[in-house]
Amino acid sequence: MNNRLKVLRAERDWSQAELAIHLDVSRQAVNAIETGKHDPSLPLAFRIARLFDMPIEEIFHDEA
Amino acid sequence: MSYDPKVPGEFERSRAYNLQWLGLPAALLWLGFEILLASGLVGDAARDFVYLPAIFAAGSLVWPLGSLSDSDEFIQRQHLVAASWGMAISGLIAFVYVFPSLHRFLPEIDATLSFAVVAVTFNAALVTSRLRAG
Repeated sequence: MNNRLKVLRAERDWSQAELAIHLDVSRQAVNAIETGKHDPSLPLAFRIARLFDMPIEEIFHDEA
Repeated sequence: MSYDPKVPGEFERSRAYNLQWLGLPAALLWLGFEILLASGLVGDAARDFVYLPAIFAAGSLVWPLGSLSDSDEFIQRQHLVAASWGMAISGLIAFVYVFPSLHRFLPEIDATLSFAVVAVTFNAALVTSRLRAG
C-alpha cells in the first residue's frame, strides 16, 4: 500500500519522532509506514487521518 | 488525549526497541557457551562468564509478553513473527523429547541448551523481521 505520510509530515516540518509522538507509536513504526514496509491497522490509519484532518483514502492508496 | 505518566512515550518505545538488538548477540554467546560446555571444552565453573548474556537472552523471551500493552502494533507484529519461530523450534525440540526413538538419531539435548537454541531462534527471527522492515 502506498501512502503520502512522508509528504504530509514534511509539509508540517515534523521529524519522524515528532510524528510518532503525535500518533503514540515508536519512531521506527513511522519509518516503516512511510517506506511501505508496514501497513497500519485501521485504528492507527484513522488516527493518522484525524491528525492530518484528511480522509483515509487521501493518505493511503491501494496498489491494485 | 489526557497525559498518563505510566504510558511509555516515543522515547521509551524507541529505547526499548534499540535495546532488543542486543538479544541476538547475547543469545549467540549463550548458545556458544552451552555448546562448548556440552562438548566438554569448558568446565561448569566457566558458566559465570556467560551469566549476564544468558540472563539477557532469557529476558528477551519474556519481554514481548511484558510489553504487550505498551508497545505499538509495528513492534508487536515483529514480536509475533519472532515468537512464532521460537515456538516452532520449541515444538521440534519437544518432538525429540516426546519420541524416545528419535534419540537414536539425535544427540542428547540438555534443557539449558534447548532454551539457548530457542532464544537464538527468537532473536534471529526478530532481527530478520526488523531488517526487512528497514
